Amino acid sequence: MTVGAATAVLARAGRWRWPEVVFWVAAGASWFVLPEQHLLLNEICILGLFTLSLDLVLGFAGIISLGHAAFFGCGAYIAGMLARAGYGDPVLGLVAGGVGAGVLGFATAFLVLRGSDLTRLMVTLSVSLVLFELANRLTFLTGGADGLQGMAVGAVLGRFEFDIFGAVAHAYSLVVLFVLFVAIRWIMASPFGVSVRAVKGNRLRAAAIGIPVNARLVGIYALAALYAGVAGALLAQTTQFVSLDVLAFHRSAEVMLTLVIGGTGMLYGGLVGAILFKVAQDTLSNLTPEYWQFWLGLIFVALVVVGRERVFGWPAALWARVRGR
Amino acid sequence: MSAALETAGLTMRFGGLVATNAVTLRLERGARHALIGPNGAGKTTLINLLTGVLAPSAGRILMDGADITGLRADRRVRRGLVRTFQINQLFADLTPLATVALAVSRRLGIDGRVLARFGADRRVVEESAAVLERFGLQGVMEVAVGTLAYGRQRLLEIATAIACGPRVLLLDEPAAGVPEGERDDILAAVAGLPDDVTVLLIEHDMDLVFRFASRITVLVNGAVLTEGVPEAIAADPRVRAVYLGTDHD
Amino acid sequence: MLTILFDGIAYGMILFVLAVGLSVTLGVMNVINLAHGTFAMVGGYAGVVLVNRWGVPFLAALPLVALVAAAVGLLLERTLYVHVYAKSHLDQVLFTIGLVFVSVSVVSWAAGSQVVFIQLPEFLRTRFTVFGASIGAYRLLIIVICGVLALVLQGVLARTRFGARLRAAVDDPVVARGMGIDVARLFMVMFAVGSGLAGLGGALGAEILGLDPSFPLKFMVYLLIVLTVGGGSSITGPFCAALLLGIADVAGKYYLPSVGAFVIYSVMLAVLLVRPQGLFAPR
Repeated sequence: MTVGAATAVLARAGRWRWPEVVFWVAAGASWFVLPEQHLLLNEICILGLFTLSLDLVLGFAGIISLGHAAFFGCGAYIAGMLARAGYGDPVLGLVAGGVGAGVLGFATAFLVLRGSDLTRLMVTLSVSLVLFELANRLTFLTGGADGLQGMAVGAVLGRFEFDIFGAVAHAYSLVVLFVLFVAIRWIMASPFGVSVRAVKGNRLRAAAIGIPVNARLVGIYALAALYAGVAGALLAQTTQFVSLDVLAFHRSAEVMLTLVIGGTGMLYGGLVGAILFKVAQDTLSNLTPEYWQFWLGLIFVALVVVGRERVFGWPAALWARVRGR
Repeated sequence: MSAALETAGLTMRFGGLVATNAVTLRLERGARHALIGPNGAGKTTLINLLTGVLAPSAGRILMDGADITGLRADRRVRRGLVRTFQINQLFADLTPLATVALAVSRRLGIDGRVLARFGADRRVVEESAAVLERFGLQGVMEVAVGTLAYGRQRLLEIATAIACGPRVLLLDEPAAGVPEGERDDILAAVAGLPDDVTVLLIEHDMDLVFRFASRITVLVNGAVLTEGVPEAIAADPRVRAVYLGTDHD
Repeated sequence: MLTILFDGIAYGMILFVLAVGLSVTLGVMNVINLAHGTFAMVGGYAGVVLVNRWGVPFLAALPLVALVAAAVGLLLERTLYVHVYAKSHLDQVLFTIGLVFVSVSVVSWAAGSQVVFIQLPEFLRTRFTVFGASIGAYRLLIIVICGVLALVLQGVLARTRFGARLRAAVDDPVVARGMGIDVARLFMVMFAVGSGLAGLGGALGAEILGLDPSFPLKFMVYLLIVLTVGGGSSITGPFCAALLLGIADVAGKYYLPSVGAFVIYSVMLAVLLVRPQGLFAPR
């Protein structure tokens, strides 16, 4: 009976596959198995969350954004300013950073609804540049070019103080990443998520079946901003410092490269890309510390000239097999 | 009683080109109306105007007496004004099931839900299954739309429109490009539409037009040439001239 | 106040010369080329070498600098950009950002990261007083040269056969090709000319803009703003936009120093909200 078959197909769509379970078990195990890498793994979790948020914008909404760091930095500064003002509870800072960035995303979403790829690029870039300038000028709030000093980040859940080895930080970031990942996976399997994918797949058609295209785009953009803000807050809290660097252009450029490496539109792409990127960066920085930017640029150029699909076709094919289609 | 769909002096100008010239059209409820005309007559432009893809330069569009001229495209769909596309506009990466289920979810107003699982609602599954069965697509419901045969895609195009629960359905050349063997499925689907649904059919296939329509409007160079019952249109010498040319050409 | 206006016009003129080449790649070839500022940087640094190190007279160095930048542009176009024309916008963004990163690193390594200046000849350092406003000879020269360039470009485009072919290729490359116009070569020429102009702008404007290895990154935004506000593929659009933005930026920084940098972004955002296709776009 068709109804039965249809029910089964739809029920299967959101289910967790075993490779996903393996991935997260491995992620959790890394805390126990690689204790000397806590700091690096913490960075990977944060970058993974940030890249995941860009995937929502780029991979699911199809908006090329060169200013995603705006939301990351927004979240970082909010969490940082709260910690400096005496509200050091990490979860509070996370929520505030996320919500603040989400509001910013909501407010600027209307700017990216119209116009061509270039226009949207310009708008997203400008927003992040304006924010950078603001952070630079409002020294009394942000510490300006010297960075935000005097953050007093409290213990996680009142019990786990951040230590210098990064063990607590790593666990904290990993748990936050996992929770948020589960949430977004759930959301993308909801009617909202499918309608967003439809909008990206064929905007004209989506409108032709009555989907409010702009409302969906604004929704996913704001959600992505929220996630980026949480990632920024994580960085602020685990490093107990915020500098203008969180809003810098290179951060937006790097997160885009990270996403491209891992693959767009698959949710896991951001996480895989973060692992690859951070490991590569760690290795290369040890080899050539000053010329990191040169190699990064060269990678970008080579990647495009050789052809992204040829180099990174494998994640999409792998993912398709994982999903059983 | 107000018409299901009507236009008053609808005009569309692209710079110096007048694509739609003061078109006045009236569709009664439950009408089986066909729109014909030579290539370039502006039929698809008219559909784009009616559905809100294009904003008219002048004129008004009314649906059940209400002015929808300024209404956004997706809002018109929610009022029941649904169209199919001449060239398939589908979601290549989704499946037929997902596509139809999305349209049904939208119609039920639950497509914006963030926390529910897509397709968890019993109504969505039942209606989607029914639509898929009606169009013979249940066998391919899990296949990526982009890989389907053209005829199947065309059926999905129409199935999706039906799933939206239309009150006024605009079909833009539904049989275009469909191989002979699969045309009958399309014809059956079009003929099987409920009586209270108002249908405007654009077609080049005169056989289909004359079998289906109770009224025909002829569009030439963006303007209405004539309108009437099929027999009158078939007999009208001006219509013949437009399609076949006159002796001086 | 007149001085501000004058300086703003000079600044705007430089922006125009820098941006017009970008207008070509962007509006015409539909390539998102974020690396355009690199050619300006190349021109600027070539100017530094020619004038400061080899003692070439400033005015003579200008056309040479343009040639160097054009040559680099041509080289990059033939070897790298060709692969990118047909790719998606995302790919083009990645590619050109990569180019920027590479060029910035290379120049940093070769020339150090401090701001450099081109030694201006004596006669350009004088100032006149006109209607009570203090006007520098250097800025006057900029306005004259860029103004002449704008007129020449507009003239070529509007009145010559070459210009007609160009406009045909812009309007519809497929049809133009069908008519026998070698679109690929035209685009190549346009790219080289655009890069050359950028190089000229870089050298000419080094004093005003401040030349250091981060130049392409810093000015990329301004150039893109000029184009977004001015609308893609004409000469007059970016010209007017560049002047508008130049004056707005200089005036903003003078009268409202604390928010000066925001003026240019706010203008752009305001324009985009009202007319996403640009203020001066034809359609």
